Amino acid sequence: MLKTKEYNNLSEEYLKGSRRLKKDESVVLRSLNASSKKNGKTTYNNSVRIPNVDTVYDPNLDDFVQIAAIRSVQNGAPRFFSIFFEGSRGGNLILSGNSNSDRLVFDFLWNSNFNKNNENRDTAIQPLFEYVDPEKNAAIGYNLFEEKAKAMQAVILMKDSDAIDFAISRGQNTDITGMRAKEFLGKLAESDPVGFLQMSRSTDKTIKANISKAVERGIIRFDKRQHQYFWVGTGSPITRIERGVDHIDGMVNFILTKKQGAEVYTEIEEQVSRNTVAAKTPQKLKK
Amino acid sequence: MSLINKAYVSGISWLDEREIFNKVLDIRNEEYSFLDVMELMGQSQKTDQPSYHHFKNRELYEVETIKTGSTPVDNSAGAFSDIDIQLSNTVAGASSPKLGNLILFPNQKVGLVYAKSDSASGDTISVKAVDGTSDLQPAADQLLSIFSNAQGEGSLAPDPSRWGMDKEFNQIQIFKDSYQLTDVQLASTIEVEYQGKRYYVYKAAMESLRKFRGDVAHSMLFGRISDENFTNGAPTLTDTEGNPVQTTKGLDQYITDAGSLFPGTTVNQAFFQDLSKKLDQVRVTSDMWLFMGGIPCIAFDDYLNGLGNSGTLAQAGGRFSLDGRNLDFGVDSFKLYGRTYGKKKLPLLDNLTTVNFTGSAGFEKVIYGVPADKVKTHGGEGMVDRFRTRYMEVPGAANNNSYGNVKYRELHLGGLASTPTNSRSVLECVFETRQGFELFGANQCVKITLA
Repeated sequence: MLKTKEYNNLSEEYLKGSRRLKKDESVVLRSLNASSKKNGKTTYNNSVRIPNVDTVYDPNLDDFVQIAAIRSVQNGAPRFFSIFFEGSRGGNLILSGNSNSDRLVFDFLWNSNFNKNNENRDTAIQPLFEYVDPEKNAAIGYNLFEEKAKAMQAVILMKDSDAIDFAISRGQNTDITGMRAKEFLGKLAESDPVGFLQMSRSTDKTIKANISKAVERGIIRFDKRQHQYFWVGTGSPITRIERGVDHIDGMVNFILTKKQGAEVYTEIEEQVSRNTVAAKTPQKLKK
Repeated sequence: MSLINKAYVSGISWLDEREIFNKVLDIRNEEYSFLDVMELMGQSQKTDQPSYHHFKNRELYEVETIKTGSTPVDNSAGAFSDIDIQLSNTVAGASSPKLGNLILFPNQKVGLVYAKSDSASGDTISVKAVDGTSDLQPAADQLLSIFSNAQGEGSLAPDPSRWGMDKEFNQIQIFKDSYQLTDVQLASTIEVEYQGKRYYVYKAAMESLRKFRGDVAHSMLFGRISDENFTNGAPTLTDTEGNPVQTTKGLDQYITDAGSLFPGTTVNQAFFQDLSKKLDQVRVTSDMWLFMGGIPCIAFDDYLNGLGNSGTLAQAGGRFSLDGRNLDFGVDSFKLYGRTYGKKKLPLLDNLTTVNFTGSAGFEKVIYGVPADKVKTHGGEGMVDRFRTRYMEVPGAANNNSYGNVKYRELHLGGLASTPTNSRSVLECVFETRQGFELFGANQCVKITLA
């Protein structure tokens, strides 16, 4: 760091403990404000400027020190670097240890409060960028690969009947075949392996499948306007689902948490297995 | 002694006259919002669909990066005048260099692309220095400018080029507000006047309308876009009846998503230098509007007044307006590095209860920089306004119980409406509009947030 009377007067101890950019090393820093995601598509803004002056606390001096990205000093007056994370580079800033300019910029950025990875940063200040750790990235990539393999394996080993129930619980038609269900689940496992594994462990999927079957076979119906389930045969209400909650999830919650819900589910299961349309509300459920 | 004093008369119930100033004071003082500014400038355009789109072209040239961790191969016995370099694309053939392209290296040397092999792990191109001897000094992570091309005599045409375009869209949002008064309150007088009349209904109407327009103005600035729920069979945002709800994208999100951001800024020379360089880079040739609240205004005035204290400027007398009694230190517009900036104060950015309070979202420290020009249309002579509101025309805007215009509708309902709609003795008044915001060329705008 280039020092002036005003800037970069950090203690030797502080600088010794700080990460430096080594020769032949290159690091990638990524802006935390460069991109936004909409409909699965990532878009980048034009650029994000990082302030070239900051104030940090040096515990060795027990005082605050102004640090700056100083390019050069002329007659005691500093000239600063302009630091931009460009959207056209994916919001990344690559700095090389073989460039003196890059090393000066890195020294400032690493010690600034804008660096999310700076352990000494002032947490009241919004971080603006982070260090892209290649080791951590590799570990994340490998874990994802491992999860994907596990999810695909789960699909391969799944019984046809289980695959059909699972696919129905995810909104597929109740007449889906085992092979088509497995194909659907394979795609699901590939696109979101972690979510898939969580869902596959869930006991809800059979209940969801039976609710979907009951709706499709005209045993129960969901009234969108009233947000309520009814028996088709009698028109009697079953339960009202809270607005803003998916109606299938709401029904599962009703079945699992309410005494009457368990009775309703027994009846649904029975009628689905008989594959008949409910003619009337079962006597035991009438009030 | 039977003295008639103040206490005696005041003791007689209901006899004292009440001394009340018959006007209500407006402590908010925020008549002009961002919405008003736009409407005063006539920047409103009808839309026939709940979402509206536009296309924009892309840059003609692309910068390429030599792949991180790759090692350039030298085909010239250590001279590095003939090299193979791997690029950072992740889709085979997606890099921009073509055979015959000229590449400008960071050391200002120029090379010709004479071979290319496509790969999903990064295309490899073979490049030869055009003067045959220059060391091109390639290195991983280096940025390359593909700036021109040179072709052989009697050669075939190069690989065809294509340039896509990007679509931007936004959508309207439905805004409503209402108030109701009973028959008794409608007829009762009050101590204070509204529009010269002593009825509460006038207060209700004024407040309700102002709040309604305030909601629209806030959304035009701070709105975050939702999914397109009016055209979605399974809307992701609904009201309590299950009706779809959607929201518009405001100025802030437009610029945050596509413009240049200057977070943690201190207004000083280094900032203006960076701002100017960035605006030149995104080809803003015009003057700039800077929309801001009071806090940034202070920062700008302080910095610019500091400039005025410099010897040359003060001697030139170029800054102060002085008429013998009044000194004007305020700055409404200023020219720096070849560009004029106009400060436009938006009272909404200082609103005590929505924006500018301790623990707020911080918009009171934000300045929005928008070019003060129109945007050129590509392949034509046209120009379009930089920003505007888009509204859906409300059918039946004026009939027996409905007032307003094509953009805003005021609906009177209940037994006390001019044409009663039911037998309940209340007057219900509903304001509604269907509007969204639209900004063109957001990539040329800036969002500056003070430290």
